[in-house]
Amino acid sequence: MTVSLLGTACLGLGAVAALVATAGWVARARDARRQPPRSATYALAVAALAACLTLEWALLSRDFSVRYVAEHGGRDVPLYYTITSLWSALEGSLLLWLLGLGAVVVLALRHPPTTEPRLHPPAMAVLTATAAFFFGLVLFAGNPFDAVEPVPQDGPGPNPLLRSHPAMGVHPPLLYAGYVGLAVPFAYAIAALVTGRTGAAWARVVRNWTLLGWAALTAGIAVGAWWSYAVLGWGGYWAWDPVENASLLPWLTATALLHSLLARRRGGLGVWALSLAAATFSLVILGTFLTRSGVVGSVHAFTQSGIGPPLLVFLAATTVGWLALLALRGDRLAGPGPDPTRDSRGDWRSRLLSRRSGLVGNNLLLTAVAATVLVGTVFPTVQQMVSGTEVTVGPAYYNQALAPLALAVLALMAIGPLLAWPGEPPGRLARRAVPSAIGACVVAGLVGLTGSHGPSVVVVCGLAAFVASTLVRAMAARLAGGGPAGAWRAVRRHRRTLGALVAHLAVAVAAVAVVVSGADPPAEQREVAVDSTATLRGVTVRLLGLESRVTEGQEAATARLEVRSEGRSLGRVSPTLTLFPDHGMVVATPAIDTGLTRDVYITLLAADPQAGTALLRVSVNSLIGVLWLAAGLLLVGTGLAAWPRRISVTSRVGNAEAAPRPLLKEVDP
Amino acid sequence: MAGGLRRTPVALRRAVPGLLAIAALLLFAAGLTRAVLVGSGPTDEDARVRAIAATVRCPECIGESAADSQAPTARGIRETIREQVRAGREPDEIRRWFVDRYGPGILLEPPARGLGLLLWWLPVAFVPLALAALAVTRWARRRTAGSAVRDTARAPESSAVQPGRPARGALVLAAAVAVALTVGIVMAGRGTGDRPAGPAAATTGDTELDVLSAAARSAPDEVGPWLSLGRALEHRGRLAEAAQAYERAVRLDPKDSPAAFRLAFAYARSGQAERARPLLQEILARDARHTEALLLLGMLQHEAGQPEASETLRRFLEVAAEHPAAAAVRRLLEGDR
Repeated sequence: MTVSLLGTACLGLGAVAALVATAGWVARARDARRQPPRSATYALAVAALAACLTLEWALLSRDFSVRYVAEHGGRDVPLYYTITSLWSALEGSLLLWLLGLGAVVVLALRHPPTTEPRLHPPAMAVLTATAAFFFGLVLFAGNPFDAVEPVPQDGPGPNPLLRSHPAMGVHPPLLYAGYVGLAVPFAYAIAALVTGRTGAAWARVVRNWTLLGWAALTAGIAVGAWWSYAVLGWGGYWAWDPVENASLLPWLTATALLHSLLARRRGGLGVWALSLAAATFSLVILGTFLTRSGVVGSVHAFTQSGIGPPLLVFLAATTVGWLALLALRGDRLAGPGPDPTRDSRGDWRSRLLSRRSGLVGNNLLLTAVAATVLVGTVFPTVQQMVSGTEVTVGPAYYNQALAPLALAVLALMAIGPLLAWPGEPPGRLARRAVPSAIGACVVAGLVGLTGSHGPSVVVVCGLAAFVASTLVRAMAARLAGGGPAGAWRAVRRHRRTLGALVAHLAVAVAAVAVVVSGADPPAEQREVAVDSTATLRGVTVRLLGLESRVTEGQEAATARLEVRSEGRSLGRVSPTLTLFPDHGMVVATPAIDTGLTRDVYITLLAADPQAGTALLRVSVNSLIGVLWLAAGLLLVGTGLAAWPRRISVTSRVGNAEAAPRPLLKEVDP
Repeated sequence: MAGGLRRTPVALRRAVPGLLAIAALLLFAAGLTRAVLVGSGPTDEDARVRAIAATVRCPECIGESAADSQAPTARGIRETIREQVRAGREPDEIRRWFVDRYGPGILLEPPARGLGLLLWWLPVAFVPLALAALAVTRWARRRTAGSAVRDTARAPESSAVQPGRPARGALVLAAAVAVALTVGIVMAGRGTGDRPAGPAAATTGDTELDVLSAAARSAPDEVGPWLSLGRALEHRGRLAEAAQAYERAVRLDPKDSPAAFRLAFAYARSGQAERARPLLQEILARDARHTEALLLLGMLQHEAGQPEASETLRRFLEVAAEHPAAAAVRRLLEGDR
């Protein structure tokens, strides 16, 4: 009872603090002499933290008088998954969202754009208003702290899928960190529209926050893919499920935004970059709405509740708000400054083949991909509303529709590093591309002539080789000369560029892994009796025994297998099939023998201990390990580009505490 | 070696990169040709069935194709496809056969008709249309920039604040989005209300039921499809029909306790307690510690005023003291005393 009151009080105080802070920041934006509402801003973050801690306490102390614990807690849930229960259902995950937003609000408060202070108050007002909305949403549409009467003895525990893999503690928080991080570029987009200022300071603060949110989102998506691969037992890592798409959409537009900011520094793409920053957050809210309102059917829609309509109103208000501001104030923004590197005397063909055109192309292609995924995701819902017929948009559609766009992105990545900022005549560009093109043709030809690959694998391998060769040449050009010491100096000097090149290389490697693994032969399945042997997809499995175990709330069957592949023993593995009768769910946890170039993936589909037979599915998946490595490389490159520059001691002595400093210092002049 | 190269004619040395490029292109062409030939070779029946099943949705699952799923309906679909492939029908004909029976939602690919056209044309047309729009706006801007004051373009970054005409295009876009979202809100508000009432909900239900009952009829000797059909009917409150489906399942495998319990539960919910009780006693004869059967039987006996009720419920409490319903049962027993 007291815990219920405490939690609700935290939420109420948080909502009040957020409203007060919003009012204060609006006042400060109108009149610079007003004091910034620092205490109220800190208070909302503290309230969010306190609410999360209260719910964690209720979960850990098994206080079933609290509704969330009664519905999603359980006595038999281990400590780790009790902690992660906070975000295993809707109401708790909204609290996690609030906690992240609180952290972001504090960080944004402490790191204003130094050279353009007028952008800060309106941006803070947008962030605190967003926090106020989410406090209200938790309070009125799904308060997890409601008291339950009578108090139940035990709860059902979280959804079985959400307590079967340690990634539960990493994947949702990373995604949420990405989502709330991308709220800041949106806030600064509104601030730019309100104040009419988009300068270098605007681009810098938006870039830093976008990189932060983008990196978290990338890591979250990668961990989610790995989790899906390691637990769900269907052998894949991406199913074009609506919820997966919802996380991909802001990732795509944020990627486009990062590139458009690059072009912006050389003049241009100002209003466009601003629109991308705002649209990214709209897509974050749209994704939250789609996945949490039950509008779309999905494997991730774990809980449904009444938060759909308020979220949709919020989505409409923010989206219409920024579009209307853009319409009314868009032309007050500083237009693109003249590009100092642009040679206006050059003919149109040279101007077309410039780095800037490459970035515009990147933005067009990524926006096209995002538009395709968006339409594909909402299409079944819209079709159902319009004509009442049920339509499915499955992986086959996305693979077909996105293949040409993905190839174009790869091709653009291949020639991107060769393009010069001012542009150059086609002949000169072609001559510089010839060595890489020859290498690409050789690689593609060899891939086609060896093994039995399809045309898509051949083309993608060739393009990826092209990308890798131009990237490596670009890296070498920056690192060459000066020996090891000189190279180290060059790394420090060109850190951002090198980081971007590493990230691009990772994308090319990932493209190869995706296409090659996608062309793998399908899994093979067969019923195997105890003490007998079967060979499926070239893998020989011997069923040593079957065990079934019935424990509280679950029935598990495990097959003990001895596995041999290509004359080599892979040892003993035990894939498991678990039935959770209370949840009506079956989880087939696969046994995976992981290798760099191929995984042996064995799933137990059905087990009959009485008859002593097991239905096994075996597949050999190529290059999945390489895909995870590529994700890691992508994050390494991002970290290299985003890491704050070491702040030199001499310049900061004295006012280290007084002056607020930008979140991530710039390296480039 | 270097001397030898220096002595080669200049023309030949110039031709080296070109020759290399031609050789590389030939290698690429050979590799691609082989890849295309490998891909288009004859395929066996399994591969063809799989290719078709991969484009058909498993109606019982979320986001899984009939090729991947282990659900009874998916197995039924695979068998149907195999029969039709053996009968020499084309993949498109087979897909149409499923669409005729289950509606377009059975295919994982959206149809290229009506609204679906947007889905297929958008990825193709997006980039050309955007490029055209970009070219038109640049052309328009250059024309106005030629005559009017060079306004914002020359101003230093981050300072130019000039009141001006609102961008009408963006305003129209904002209005359009506002209208679309309002419609969406209204629709979503209707959708989240009483689900079974809406016509859309009714059609969804029918499609799923059609598929499930077709699956059950196509494999009448399998328990799984009948159970799935029964559960779907029960979910929709059609208890009498659900009981019939469960009866089929129990007749196929009288020892299947889950099926028998579902049947007993459906009987109990549709007011046929007298049929539910013997069934529950059978289940308990096989498994005396079947918690849910003890609870249901005890409650039914209690309602009928039978004296065995307290004994059954006490056994339930022994087996499942921590059960969510245990507290209520205890109160019930105390009230009786």
